[in-house]
Parts: sequence; structure tokens; C-alpha cells
Amino acid sequence: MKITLSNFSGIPIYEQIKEQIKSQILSGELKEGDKLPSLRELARDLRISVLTTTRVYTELEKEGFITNIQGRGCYVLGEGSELLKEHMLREMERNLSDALKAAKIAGLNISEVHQALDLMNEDKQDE
Amino acid sequence: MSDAINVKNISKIYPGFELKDISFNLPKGYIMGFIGPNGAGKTTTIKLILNMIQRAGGTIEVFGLDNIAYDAEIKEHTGVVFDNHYFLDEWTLNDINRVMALFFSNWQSSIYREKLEQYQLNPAKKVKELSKGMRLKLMLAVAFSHDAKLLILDEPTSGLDPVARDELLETLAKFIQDGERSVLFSTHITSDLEKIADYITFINNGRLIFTGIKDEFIDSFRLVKGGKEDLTPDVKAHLIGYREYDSGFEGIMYTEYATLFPNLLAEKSSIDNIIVFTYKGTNGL
Amino acid sequence: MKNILNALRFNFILVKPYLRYYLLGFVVVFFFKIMGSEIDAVSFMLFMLLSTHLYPFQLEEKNDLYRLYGIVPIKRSVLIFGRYLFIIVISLIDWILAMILEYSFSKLAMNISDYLLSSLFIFSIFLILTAFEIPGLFKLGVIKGRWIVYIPLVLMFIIVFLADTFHILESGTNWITANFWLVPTVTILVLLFSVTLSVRIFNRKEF
Repeated sequence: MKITLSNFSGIPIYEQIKEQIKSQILSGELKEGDKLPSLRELARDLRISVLTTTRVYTELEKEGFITNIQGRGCYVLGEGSELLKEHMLREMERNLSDALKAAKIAGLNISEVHQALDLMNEDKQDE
Repeated sequence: MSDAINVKNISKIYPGFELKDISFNLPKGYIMGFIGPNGAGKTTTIKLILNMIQRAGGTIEVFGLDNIAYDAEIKEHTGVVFDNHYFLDEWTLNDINRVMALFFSNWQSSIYREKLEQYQLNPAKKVKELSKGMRLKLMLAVAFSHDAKLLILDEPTSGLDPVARDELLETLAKFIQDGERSVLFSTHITSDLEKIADYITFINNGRLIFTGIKDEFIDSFRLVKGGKEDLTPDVKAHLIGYREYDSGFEGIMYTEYATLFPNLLAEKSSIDNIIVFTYKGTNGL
Repeated sequence: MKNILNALRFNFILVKPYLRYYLLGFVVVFFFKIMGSEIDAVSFMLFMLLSTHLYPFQLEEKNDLYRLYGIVPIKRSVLIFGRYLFIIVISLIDWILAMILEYSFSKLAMNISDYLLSSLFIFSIFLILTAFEIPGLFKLGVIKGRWIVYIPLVLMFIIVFLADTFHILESGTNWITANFWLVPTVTILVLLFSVTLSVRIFNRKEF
């Protein structure tokens, strides 16, 4: 696991850590079943509050990225996790609804939105 | 979750200064930053916890035990670091080993010698020959040699260079690793606490301003800025403290009030600014 | 009990760096004696002692050792007992050494037991005077309470002067022999009162 914190980004420390762990899980750098450092180890290494690391792990667990096995530590659930899938589905729905709102303000109809989405998808696949 | 320290409504009256109704609790396994400007009552509070002075009211429990009735039991497991050492100038570090073995029933000379070696302190040296940073390490070595479960530090970093301060933070982070040990860390150098502290207790002029989780502490204040014309009586009434200058003003406001004035620039504040402006506000500066 | 003995040992470690000044007193009086001086070793040593037993008070005040007392798991009363024990022990050592010194050079036509008795008398008076002084030192400290120190000094001088002038030492020996237990008993009672007072004062002291 790799974490780099910025004191000047304006983003809260806990959010920086959370996003970095998340992206490492999503990118596959952290694999299902990988053990995360303990709350206190992580706090000591990063010289931050134990409560901050606690918050990170609690939120990651709620969002389905990791699981906390009592007395053994925190483990990555991985992309196959039902919870994670559900979470990502909700995330997608939220983003799409934002997109629809924006489209409405811009005066675009639904087929134009579909078109834009297809275009984006092609671009992504080209990458 | 049990508390390492539990202070309820304590007070102490001196001529010209009153510590009033201070309450806070430090849960076991965490670091609490104890902050406030000089003269706020931090040392008085610490001396009350250590039963060094007599309180006018309130209750204090350490490890769940009354701090007066169980004075000796508590001190067996409490390590203290003051801003300066509490030994005789002429004592050597070996003398200190002998003295502490007389007082602490759980004193372990082997750990003491180990720690001196780790901190590169020569046991034959006299206390008065040690630098400020070495004295701090000496007091930490003493605390670790009687298996302290609670570390109380009173302004340990004033006059220390950044390297020594960083080493201290590292030591504290390691100290609380097992979740059984706790730290009460009084300081006015808040950058030490900005990251590492779990809880904050902030007092000013003998009164409690805030106690709780550090992130909530920082989040409950906003640094607001605006032009001179923005400093209306209504804004002034909601500011805890502020500073006016030629082209505008800046000050500290509770976050919930900051939203009432969308025309002002509101941003997260450093702990330093919270202390500075609270001090200005309560002292009418 | 173990704690009190530890507190006693603490006092010895406390004054350790300064004991050489105290030992200097012996050397000085020994030197005087060799030179054939008429100086009374017991009085001289007790006089030296009056400043020696102030050391722990001076040192703890100067170095603010109250902070040490505040963080160690030991009762304040135990610290007081240790201090009294220290003063008594160091006075005893002092007294015995001074007596040996005095007797071996003495030109007085006294036998040992008479000499022992008279110096025991002086020693007891010294302890009584000290007992009055100590609570004051705990209360005010050495800096504020400097004047307290002079009271036993001055009284001691007067007593020694009177004893010398009116030869009380010789004539009083009979009286002391007759009331052998009176002086030590009074001394112990005064000391007990003094300890109680000091404990009360020290328990209320703000460190």
C-alpha cells in the first residue's frame, strides 16, 4: 500500500488516504484478501491521529472496499465484493443523475445524452 | 472504552487567576493535545491531576481511580515530562537510576540503561551538562523505565529544534501503539499536534473552550476574511476574535455562524489561529 | 518502613555532591586540635552541622525538587520521616566522630562516662533546637526562612557560652546522672511534635 499525503492540497487528510486506498483497490494494486496495516501502525507511519485512520477504515468498510475481522485486522474485499458492486452502482446512478440534471439545464434531450455517453465509451475503449 | 484521565468540573483559585469548571476525558490509547496561550491554566490543570496542588472543587480520576485516594498507585504508572528536568543539577544519570529505584517499586534499571544507550546519553554525565533536548530524552527514559501507562507532558517542546520535536512525535506515536497507553500533551507549539493528536482540549484564561476530537475541533471554527465594509456590527457580534487592518479584517467564527455571512471568505483554520483569535477576543484586544 | 528507609537513602543521595563541604569541617577541627587549639570539637561540629542539615532543604528549593516529589509514588509524610531520620542519623554520626576527636585530644579531667553524658546533653539540646527549626523550613523554605536558621545557632552559642562560663557542664553532670532519662525523653517528645507539625505543613504545601 502506498500513501502520500499533502498538507497543502486543502483536501482533508482522511479523505486523501481513503481515496488513495480506494483507487489502489480499483486499479488492482491492492488485491482481494490483502491485509491492510493496523489502525495504529498506519497512524504511526503517517504521523497522524489514530482517530483519522479509524475514520478511513470505517468509511471504507461501509462502502464495501474492506472488511474488518475482529482481532485479525482489515482485509481488502476486492472488486468481486457484492457490497462494492452495489456501492459502485449507487455511485454510477448518482453521477448519471447529475449528468441528466446538467443536460436538462443545457437543453439537451435524452438521445443526445445517449450519444455523448456512447462517444465517451468509445474514447475510453480506445485508451 | 475506559478513560486514562477523567476530569470533572475542577477549579482552583489563585489571587488574580481562577481555573473554573474544567472538564475533559482522555480515552485510553489516544493522544490528547492540551492547548491554550501562556497563563491559560494548563500547568495548573496538570498539577491538579498529579495531586501536586489542592483543588477548590471537582473530581479527577486517573485509570478510573480517584487521584488523591490512589495517589501512589496512579504515579507508579504515570510518566511526567516537564519543560525542565526535575532532578538535582549535580546528579549524574547513574544517580537518577538509584533515586528512581528508591521511589518506584516497578523501576527497571535494565530498561533505563537501555533507553540511555538508545538516546545516546552518557550515564556518567551530570544533569546540568545535558542540553534541553537531552533532558527531554532523560525524562522520557525515566517514564519508560517504570512502565508508564500514561504520559503527561507539560510544554516539552518549547526551545527544542525541529529534529528533536519530530523525534518526540515519533516516540509518542510508538508509545500508544498497543492501544493501552495514553498521552496528555500540553503545548503552545500547535504544529506538533496538528496531525498526531486524536483529541484536543483547549482552555483560555482558566475556562474550557473546547474538548473533543481534534478534527471536530478544527472543523467547528472557520477563519473568515473580508473587506473593512464587511465588518458590520452583526458580523462583529458573531466573531470570537478578530484583527482589523487597513484593507480589511480576519477573525475566527464558529462554523455554524460562518454560513450566515456568505459574502465573507470562510476557510479552515489552523489551530494556531483559533488560539490567537480566541485570546484576542476574550481579552478585548 | 521500607519506604521510610528509602526516603532516608534519598536524602543521602541528595546531599552526596555536597558532602565534601561537610567532611571539610572534620578536617578543620582536626587541624585545630593538632595545633593545640582549645576549640571544643563537639560544639564546633554541631555548629558545622547546623549548616549541613540545611543542605537538603536548600537543594530541594533551589532545584525545585517538589516537582520530583509530585510525580513519584511516595506519600509526603514518608518524605518528611525520611528527612527527620536523615537529620538524626547525620547528627549522630557527627556527634560520635566529634566526641572521639574531642576525647582523644581532651585535657579535661573527666572520665568517659561523664564525658558521654555531658555531650549527650549538648546533643539533645541541639536536636531540640533543630526540631523547632524544621517545620519552619518546610513552611517557608530556606530562602524565605533564613532567619529561622539563626535562632538555634544563636541559642546554641548562648548555651555553650553559659555552660563554659558557669561550668554548668561539670556541675550539671551530677544532675544529668540523676535524671538520666529526662533529657532524651524530652528530646523525643519535642521531635514527635515537630514531625507531626511538619507533616501537616508539607501535606498542605502546593508543589
